[in-house]
Amino acid sequence: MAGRRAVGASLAAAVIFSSVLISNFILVSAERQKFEFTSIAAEERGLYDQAVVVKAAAITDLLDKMQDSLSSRTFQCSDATTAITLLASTEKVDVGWEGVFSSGKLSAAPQQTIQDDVLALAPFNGTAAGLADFEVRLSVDGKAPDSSVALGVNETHLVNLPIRLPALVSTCLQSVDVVLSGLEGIGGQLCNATIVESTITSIGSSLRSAAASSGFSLSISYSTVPGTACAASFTVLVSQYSIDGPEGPFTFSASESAEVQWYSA
Amino acid sequence: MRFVDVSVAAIIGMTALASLVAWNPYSFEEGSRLYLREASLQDYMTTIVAAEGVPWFQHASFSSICNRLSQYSNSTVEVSAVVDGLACSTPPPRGAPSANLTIDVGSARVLLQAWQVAGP
Repeated sequence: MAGRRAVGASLAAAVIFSSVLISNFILVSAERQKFEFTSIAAEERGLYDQAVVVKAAAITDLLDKMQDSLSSRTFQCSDATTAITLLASTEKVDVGWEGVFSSGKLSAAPQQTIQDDVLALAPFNGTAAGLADFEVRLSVDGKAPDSSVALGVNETHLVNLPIRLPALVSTCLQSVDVVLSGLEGIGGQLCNATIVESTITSIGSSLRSAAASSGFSLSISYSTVPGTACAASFTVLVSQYSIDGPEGPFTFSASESAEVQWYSA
Repeated sequence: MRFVDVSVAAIIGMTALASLVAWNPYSFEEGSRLYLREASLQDYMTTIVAAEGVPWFQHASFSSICNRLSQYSNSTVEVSAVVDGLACSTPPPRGAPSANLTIDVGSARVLLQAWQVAGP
């Protein structure tokens, strides 16, 4: 009888402990699965976050290059927009670290105000009518270390450099027209350098004030060529100073030249 | 006979207890919590980078980066950085949930670090 009880107790213990073990196994399996899902989700999130920064860095590099190109020369007012469009189309970049790599290509974007979700690019994200706007085509590839989590996307983003390009070009070309009509108004006295100088000084003063009120700096240089055909040539230079670029403050300048001739009788 | 029964029952019990210790769901649960905390720290750093903008990190000085990041530290999260090898503060304590985010732009290399200083 005692032997049977002992066997029964052993069997009962086996059943109880087996139930506990099975329950524990189910719980452990569920927790392990949750752990695996969480680890994959965390790796995906980490890769995504790093990709956001790499994308922003790639675009920043492109804007740095564009800033260098725009600040190192003086553009022609009548051709500035086309020149910048051509210049932008030559800019490319490749960056990458921490397993994420990005290639980008720049081009000019239409003048319109559009928000962009590359938030890590503040304040250059999105385009705005009246600024120098660009489009960036990016390809991004990445892989989390020791994991099967990978990322591969092609994206297009809109960015800007705060050069007030249309306003600057317009100020420049309108100023050239004003100087031209002023010089044409003095007619045959074009051969008189003093009169030319006083005319340009007078016009230049009001043009400089108008440009300054728009946030630009304007200067006019000129020369006269006396002779049978008296001529005066001049150049209007308009600059926007202290533009907050990704590399720090810079200056953008554009100029336009013209000439007036007077054939004496 | 009784000795055998007691031995068998003891072996079953000990095996079961050993299995419970070895197959402890707590270690996986704790691992999941750690991943979630680290992902949350990673998101917090991305929010900081989005607010300041990657271009700012490119030309900001070491001291201005450190000062700005210290404003993002609070009672539960500490945010710091290593800028071109120079650390703003002491590194995260060993074992604390932490996350890193690297910004490599222009000539600047900034390693952002965030770690938890107290439990939620």
